[in-house]
Formats: sequence, C-alpha cells, structure tokens
Amino acid sequence: MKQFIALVSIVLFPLAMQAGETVKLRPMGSAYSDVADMGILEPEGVGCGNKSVLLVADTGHGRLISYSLLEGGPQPGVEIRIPQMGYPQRVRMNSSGAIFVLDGRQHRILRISPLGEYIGTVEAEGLPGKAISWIPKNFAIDAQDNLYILDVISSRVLVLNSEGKFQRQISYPQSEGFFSDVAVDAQGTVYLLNSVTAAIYSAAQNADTFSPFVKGLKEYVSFPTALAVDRKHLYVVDQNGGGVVLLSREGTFEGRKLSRGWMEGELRYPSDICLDDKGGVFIADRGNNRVQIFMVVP
Amino acid sequence: MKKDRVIVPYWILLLLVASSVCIVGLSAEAQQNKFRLKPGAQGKICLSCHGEFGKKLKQPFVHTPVKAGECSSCHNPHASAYGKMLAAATNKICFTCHTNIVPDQALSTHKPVGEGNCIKCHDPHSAKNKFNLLSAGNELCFGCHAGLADTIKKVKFKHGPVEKSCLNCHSPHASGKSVGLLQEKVPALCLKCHKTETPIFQKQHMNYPVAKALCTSCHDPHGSDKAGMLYANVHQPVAGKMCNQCHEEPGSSKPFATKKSGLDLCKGCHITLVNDALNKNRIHWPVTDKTGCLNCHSPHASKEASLLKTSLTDLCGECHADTIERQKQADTKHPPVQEGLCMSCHAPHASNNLFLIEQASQIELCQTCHDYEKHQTHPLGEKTVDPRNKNVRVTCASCHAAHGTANKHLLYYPTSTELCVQCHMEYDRR
Repeated sequence: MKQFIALVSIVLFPLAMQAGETVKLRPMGSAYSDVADMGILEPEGVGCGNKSVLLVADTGHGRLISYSLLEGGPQPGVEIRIPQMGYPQRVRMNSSGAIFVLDGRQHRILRISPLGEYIGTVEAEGLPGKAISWIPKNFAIDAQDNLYILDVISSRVLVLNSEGKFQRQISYPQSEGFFSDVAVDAQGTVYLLNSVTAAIYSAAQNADTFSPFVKGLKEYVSFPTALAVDRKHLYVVDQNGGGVVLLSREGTFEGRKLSRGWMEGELRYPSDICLDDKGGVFIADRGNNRVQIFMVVP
Repeated sequence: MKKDRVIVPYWILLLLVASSVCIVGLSAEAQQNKFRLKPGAQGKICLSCHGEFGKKLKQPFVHTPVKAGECSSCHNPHASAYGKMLAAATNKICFTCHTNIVPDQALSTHKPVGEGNCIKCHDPHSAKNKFNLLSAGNELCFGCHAGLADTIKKVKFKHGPVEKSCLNCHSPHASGKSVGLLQEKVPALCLKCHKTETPIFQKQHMNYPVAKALCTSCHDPHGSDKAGMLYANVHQPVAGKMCNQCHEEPGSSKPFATKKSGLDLCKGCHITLVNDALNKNRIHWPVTDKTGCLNCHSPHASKEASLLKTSLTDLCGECHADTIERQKQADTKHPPVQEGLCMSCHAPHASNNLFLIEQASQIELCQTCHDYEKHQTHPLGEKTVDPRNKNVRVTCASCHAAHGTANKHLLYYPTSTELCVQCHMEYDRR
C-alpha cells in the first residue's frame, strides 16, 4: 500500500506542480537604438500586431522607430520622423499595417502610412449630441480595425471605424480614480483600466456600459498604467512597481512577472505593452530607455 | 373507569415557585459574585490594600461599577493577561457594557473610539467632570486638536457655537449621519441656527438658494480672519460677489449649475494658464477630464493657497497613494516629500518633462537644493554612461529614490557595497 501511494505521488506531483505554474516570459533581448545607433529615449509606447513589425514611440526624440522582427530578434530599427509628430506617446498598427500615433502635444491621433508618410489626423465624425470635443488619453485597435479611444474630457470610450466615423460610445463606469488605458480582445470585449483604484472594467461587444471585471489589484500593483489582452491572459503593467501582473480571462490573479531595476529582465517605470500574434510581449521600458522583448512560454 | 384527579396541595405549589425564584436569584448573584467574595466584601476588600483609591471615590462623578464597589466588573482579582489586571483587552473592555457607542453604519468614528482608547478622554474610575471626562469642555478636544485650538482662539471672526462647545456640532464618539463626526450633514446642521429666509441673508448670498448648498464650501466653520468667516483664500468671483460669472442666474431652474464645465469654464478667466498647459508635451491628466480643475481646486474658497482643496500630501495622495506611502515607510525622509511640497519638483498642470518634473535635467532638479559637488565627486551627467545600460546616464536617481526607500539616504540598497557593485561589478566579492 505504501509503495502504491509513493508511486502515485511520484506521478502526480509534477502534474500538480505544473497546474500551479503560470505563464513564463522568456527574455528575448531588448531594442536600444535605431540603425544609426541613436539610442532610444524615454519610449512611451510600443505597437505590434500580425506584420512582424515592432513600432516604438521614441518619445524623448520625437520619432517612431520601426523594427522588423525576424527569428533572431529585432533587426536594426528605421526611424520615422514627420514634422506633424512632436511628442509620440502611443503607437498602434491596424491589420493593414497603417500606423496610428497619439501625439501628446497636439492631443490628437495621427494617421501614418506603413511607409512612414503622414496621412492626417483621426477626426471623429458624427459624434452624438453636444459632446463634440474629445481629448484622447489612450487608444486601442481591434481585429476589424475599429479604434477605441479613451476620451478623458467626456468620460467615455469612443468607438470609431477605420475611417474615423463614430460607431458607438461606452460611458465610463461610476468610479473614483482615473482611467488610463483601454484594450480590446479578439471577441470585441473592451477592457478599461483604472490606475488609481487598480480595477479593470469590461464591456462586451456592442455593449454601451462597463461592468466591474477585476477589483482589488492594489494587493499586486502599485500604480498600473497599461493593459493588454491575448487569448488567455490580461497583462497589467505596473509603472511604479516595475512589473507585469498576469490575470486569467476570468480575472483571477495568475502571477507577477519581472521586477524593478536596470538590468535586462528588469523594468523601470514601464509605460506600455503590446502582444503580437506569435506570443511576443513587448514592453516600453521607459525609465531604462529601451524596449524589452519577451516570448510567452506556456 | 374514571381516573382519579391528582390534587397538588397549594403549599407544595408555593414551595416550588419560591424555590424557582431563589434559584434564579442565586444564579444572578453568582454571576455578579463570580469570585465568591464574602458578603459585603466587594469593593471594600480591594480598598483594604488600595487605600489611596478612597480619594477617587470622593470625586463628584464616579463610574457606576466603581461606585457599586464592583471592581471585578473590569479587573480580574487573581491574574490577567492584560495590563492593570483588566478582565479583557484595554481596547475592548469598555464595550462589554457600553455596546452602542458606535452606531451601525456609522459614517464617521472618532479615532480613539475606533481604537478602543476610551481612557484618552475618560477616567475609568472617577473624575471632576461629567461623564468622567479628563478635562472639561473644549479643553479636552484641544489636547489632541492643538492646531485647531490655536486657530479658534486667534481668529478674528469667531463662530459662537464653536467657542462654547465642540459638541454643539460634533458627536464625540461617532456619527451615523455625517462625516467629520457632525451631528447632521451640512447644511442641515447649519440651518439649526441660521435662518436663510431673512432678506439680509439672501442679499449676502446674491439671492442664491444656499440653504440647499454646502455652506462649508465657502465658510470655515471654526472661524476665520476673513469677514463672513470665509476661508483664508477666496476665489475672486466669490469675493467680488459675482456668482453668476460661473453659475446660472439665481432665479433659474438650476441656479447652481455652471455655465460651462471642466476646463471650458475655468479658461474663461485662466486662458493663459490653460493654453500653457495644453501646449506642453505632458499634461497632468486630471486637468483634462470632466471635473477638470476641480479635481484639485476648490471653486469658492479654501484654507490652502491657490485654492487647493487640501494639503498637497492629501491631495496628491488621493491618486498617488503608493508614492506617499513609500515616503511614510522610508528610513530617511526626503523633506519636500514629507512636508507635502510636491510642487518643489513637479509641475501640477503640465510640463515638457517626464513625471512633470520642472527641469529637463534630473541633476539640475536635485541641485536646486543639494549642492552635491561639495560632498561627492562621483561622475554624473550626460557623459557618464551607466554600465548596466548603455542608454542610461548616471544621475542622482541611479542611486537614490526621491520618494524614499527602506534604506538610509534614499538609497536603493541597504549598504554602499551592495549599491556600488551594481555598476562596479568587478569589485563584487559577495
């Protein structure tokens, strides 16, 4: 009998351990500079998607850097500078590779071609009622190229189609604190991050209100400022704590990754995160003037 | 067959009733006399050793169990796990009898009450003052609220009820009706004394129906040096009695509604400040939301300069609680942080620099207070590359965290050895 119990334990123990294991982030290196070896400075945003391209909002230098992602890692980055872009803070790509940049000085979202040519600004057409002014704090793009814009002055998430036409709006939930990021998953569920209360709200596709999704993240984060979602997890970037918290799609805490510091694998005041379709995780490690690259290991 | 009825003699019934009464009485007495003291010995027996206690019994107000000689109501005469031989923990013993001190759903609770620190205000045995209070009247409150005491005594325009007694407005233990231990919410509390229908009152308030508004938005309830008991700093339109500069007319259906909201309202007068902020690279985001300026500023009057709602530590701490907490727990205090002088380093509205720092260079920022070149020669600045990261330069923040750490001198590591070898790895002998 004792031998049977010992045998069962030997078989089951590793399985039990594996059940408790969360996702791992394997470090794949960092992007420090462009092809001319000009270093990145205070990067605020990262954009990635299905094009094997990594875009970095090199905020301190007022430019974007575009890296091609190959098997060996990011290739030397190409600078994108346009006179209309003075202070890029967020950068995203849609399915056709068009680039959208939130400019902090203009408080507008700029539209740039995949080749780095300025096209124009996103002008929300057809906004309802009197609330025609909007100030974007952050934004996300879904699989259908709709834009989800965090409009701070009107306390809502504006949903525009790829041409900038108003589709719908989702009013902020009644809550203390301040909403600083928005993310959309493949099913069209919208997630909203409150930095002060460290809570996340969600709105199903076509919903016009948010519901509480996760409360009480204060136990795990100091001051979260960015959010990303993939098939299995939500990734919450803790700016002040220098880490990333993983949540399951049901909102349960699944671990805290990375720590505060200067070395590779450590973060200082990270400000943005993006996830590509190959398991790549890209973090704008702003305080360390680089973008760190990880691969999700299930 | 007919059963014989059982007839219980009346004297047996009487005996049974009398016995029941005696048993109940004896149980109650046993409970009170759980230490089985000799008759008449309760209290007296304690005084046979604690003779000096006799003086306490002569005070005008004596705690009921003390008066009844029931020392064992609070103290265990044999042994105790608590100080002063108390029968229960100091912060719980009073509540064994005084169960309703804090109402259910209390909106505010006095800190010593919440901590069970009743003897902060009350003498547990006897006192010269009613309710066994340690001091009479406001003097008791001023023992802790010294700053407020000073204000109340010195202000030019005093609030009568405040001078007479704090308890005219506040509940000493807890309030189920309002924050701040107020007996009623404002303005209901104020309306108990102040008649708002009088012509002079209405004229003073520009005919706005302020009986439905928050009096303490303009008036300092403890008194002030400003006429009308307004707070020390008054918004110009309020001082100029130009309420309709921001609000709808008093006779309108919504007299307190503002003519515009958020930034749009304030930029009517503060256009330069708003434009400066919007033209900078980084804006403090609360400036731009629906509440806008009122996230931080009081629109009418305030004790704080620049019409801030409260002290900067509390105000900034509403959002940046983690940063304020870090300083509280820090081994070495950084004075501008500890003293709530956030604006020594940060621009409150907007800046071109990260974290809304005023200066572009971190070293320049620290140099405004610290003449570091006089006490150290470690290379710093644009030409000094951090060995850990080629994109980072060595600055003050390479070693020190401005908001504090668990280590001395705001250092990231507990010893200089551990700190230095982060960069000078060749000397790491650990």
